[in-house]
Amino acid sequence: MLLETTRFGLVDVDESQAFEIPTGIPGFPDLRRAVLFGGGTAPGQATGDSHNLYWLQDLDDGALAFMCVVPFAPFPDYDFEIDEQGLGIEDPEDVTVLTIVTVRREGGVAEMSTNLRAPLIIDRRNRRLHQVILPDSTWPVRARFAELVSNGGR
Amino acid sequence: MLVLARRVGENILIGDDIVVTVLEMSRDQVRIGIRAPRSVSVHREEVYQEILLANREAADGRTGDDVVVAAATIADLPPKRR
Repeated sequence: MLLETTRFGLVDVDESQAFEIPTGIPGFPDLRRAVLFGGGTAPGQATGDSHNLYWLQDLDDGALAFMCVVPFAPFPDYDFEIDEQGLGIEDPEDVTVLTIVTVRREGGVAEMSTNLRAPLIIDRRNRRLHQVILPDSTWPVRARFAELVSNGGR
Repeated sequence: MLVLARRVGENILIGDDIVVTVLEMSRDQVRIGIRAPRSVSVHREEVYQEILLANREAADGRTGDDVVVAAATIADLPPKRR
């Protein structure tokens, strides 16, 4: 299907590659079908060889996309346990973990953080995605990993 | 809001399969046990709200330039180690 997106313009999306998000994510209960751009194949601005950068693009709202990172790249010690059975995961090997990135500008510096408290658990076999809130975790909601100085402050 | 008085050890049933138990009381804190099917998510409200706000902020609040630079920054991270 052709999808008009704010970030990437008109994109031809293979619907069979979409992920179902059974309950949406906090704040976005209507985000139920999404595709992941990335792993070196992101369209638009995010092209490149990076396998750490992904975009979660809502299939039903072209304006809604989340920048995501493979959290183990900036945070090699990142680790947690989840209830795989409860999420319907058959084989842990099928799971990809991403975390949502926030870019926040204060003054001339933009700060990048990512939400390690609520990772995206992506089941590639069953094409399902959950944002799991880790119940008793101390991983922060806003884990800073970079400051952007260039191009800013306009 | 429905208001019920309960003693330690007593339960409240919500629907057919959610059981809320008062486990322990101290001066200003109550420990509560919740038994619910896996399909029901249970969260401390403030944690849920914090994640909701972070998601909203991630979805907007970014200027175009920042996003391009941010994407490039992530792209420049060394490959993941596992």
